[in-house]
Amino acid sequence: MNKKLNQLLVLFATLFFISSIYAHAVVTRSSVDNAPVTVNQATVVSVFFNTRVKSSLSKIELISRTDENLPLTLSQGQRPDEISVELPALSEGDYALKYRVFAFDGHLSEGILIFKVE
Amino acid sequence: MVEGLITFLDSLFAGIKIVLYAMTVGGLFWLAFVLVPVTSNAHAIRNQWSQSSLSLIAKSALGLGAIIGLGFIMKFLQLQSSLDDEMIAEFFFTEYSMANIVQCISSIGLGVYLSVRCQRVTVSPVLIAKMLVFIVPVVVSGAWLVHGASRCDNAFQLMSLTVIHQLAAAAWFGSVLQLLVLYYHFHNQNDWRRLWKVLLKRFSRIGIPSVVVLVTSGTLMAIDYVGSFKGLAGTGYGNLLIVKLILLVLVLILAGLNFTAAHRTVYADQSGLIDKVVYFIEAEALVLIAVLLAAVSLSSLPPAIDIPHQTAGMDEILQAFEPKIPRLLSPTHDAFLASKSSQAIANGRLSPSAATAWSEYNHHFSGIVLIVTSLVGMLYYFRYWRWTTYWPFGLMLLSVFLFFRSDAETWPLGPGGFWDSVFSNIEVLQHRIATVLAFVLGVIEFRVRAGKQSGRLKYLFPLLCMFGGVMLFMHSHVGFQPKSEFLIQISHIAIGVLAIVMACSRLLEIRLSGAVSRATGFISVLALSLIALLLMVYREPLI
Repeated sequence: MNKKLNQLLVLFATLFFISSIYAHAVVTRSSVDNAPVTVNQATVVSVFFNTRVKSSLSKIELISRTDENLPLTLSQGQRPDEISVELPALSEGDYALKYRVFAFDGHLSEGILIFKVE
Repeated sequence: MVEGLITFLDSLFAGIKIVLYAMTVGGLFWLAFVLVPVTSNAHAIRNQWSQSSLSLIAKSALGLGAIIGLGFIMKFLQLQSSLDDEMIAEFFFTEYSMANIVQCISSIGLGVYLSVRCQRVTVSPVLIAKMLVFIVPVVVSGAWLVHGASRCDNAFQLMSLTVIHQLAAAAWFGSVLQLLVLYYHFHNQNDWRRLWKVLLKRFSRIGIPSVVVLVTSGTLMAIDYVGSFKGLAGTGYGNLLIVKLILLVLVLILAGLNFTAAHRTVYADQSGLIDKVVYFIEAEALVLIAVLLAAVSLSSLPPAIDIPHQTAGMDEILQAFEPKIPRLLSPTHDAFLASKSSQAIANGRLSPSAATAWSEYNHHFSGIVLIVTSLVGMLYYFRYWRWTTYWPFGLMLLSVFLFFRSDAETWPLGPGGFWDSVFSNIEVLQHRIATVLAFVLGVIEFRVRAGKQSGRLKYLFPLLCMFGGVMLFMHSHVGFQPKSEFLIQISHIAIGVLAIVMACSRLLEIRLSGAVSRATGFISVLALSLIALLLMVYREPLI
């Protein structure tokens, strides 16, 4: 019967389970929440998460209306839950930041932050 | 495609890890608080039982070390795909990496030590002290791998509480498994009935404190992570906590039967409860596995307190379960594909109308198939009509329907390739697994009930129900739109819990006999009918 128990556990182990890992860290606020980015001017955007994140192991891309992804330069913000992103000078329109951040507990999380350039 | 597979494996390893962790760490509690005291005056028995218990701990520890190592490699591969080589080097100096390395080495060390020694040693306080040298680093370093480690506030408190919570769960689950293994190995031994009763009695000294610690630490963490009743009811995180609570109640009912059996006198035990108790413990072990996996899923969601703006209100939650006439007409496949195009989505609604109608029709039709299936299944237990034996055919019919309809953008109806969609989209993979599951369940269950299938395959139905149930409440796609995804998830979670009830009651039906067996079997089909009703009122959220 021990064999049966092992088989049961192996079956669970083999089949079990799928969950989305892309949700652990979420953006709680950012410097573009209520203030649009100024047109044709390079800007540093601060993004705050609900967890401590490691900027050196994270990645943020700029998505424009043409669906082009532009990797951005990141740095750790003043707080452990903050990442600063350097935006290039942009023309007017809607954009998004697609992030993939590494939280201190090892979770990787993906998400999108939409903002306006006016 | 590869990234999807890596993501899947990463999640898979996290699930296996928590089960092996509980078996390894919980095994130590078993040795210290049950095996040594129970066998203090029976050295011959202690020798036999020691080997069995130590062997299980050794295998679990080796498995734990291996799975931690594999999980670590998976995480590295996930990061490597998106970062430069210079940056990736930093990964090895994170607290996460250090904690994983310590856990991995300590687990393998324990496994090797016990594998070498377990044939020759008997469990004693000295051996337990030696095992602690390996287990303490596993437990302590685990604190840097839990959600609390990444919090800005109260990190130390949350890390400590989570470790205590994990220890209590491990003590309970690890001891339950040890109890089962001893039963399987030695239940033909002389004087077993008396010893079994002593073991059960002694086990309650682990079980009861474990429950108290679990509930206390869990409540304290919930205050920090959930914060309000609205967060509990209106987020995926809160709902998974409720699932854990419901499953805990289910486990406590089963544990209560075990406790009663252990504490009854032989004269009072006229129903022979003591002989049936092992079946309740088996069901208890299954539900505990589900609880552990729910805990892993919970750790992948944002805590409710962090997403107040994405929390669903009570009216939205009630709307998800509001009865309505099922949708009996489906939009055409062309209309579905057109509504799913990026242009249609960009023009406004997140859930375009034809796609919404398609999804609702899928759920409602599945519900109708299952309600008919379960009603015939209930009639089967009255034993009047022989044709009712064929009720599992409904599950096969459902799988054929799901095969064509569940992911209509991909093969066989849609333009997307089979392999590409399966490996690049984790949700498609889940749906494909569910489709195969339903078909296999139908075939096996029919053969078992028609008397054409004997042996271990009869356990496949409860096992697959369990798998399906856990998969459903692991089916969290909270990513970009937590609230709308949660409103989809909420009905899936309810169905997942009912599937676990189905699994346990069907397992008990197989293991027990007579009227109790039939009653648990009926409960199993009743749970299926409730699942059908939930599917029939399913509504796609439009947010």
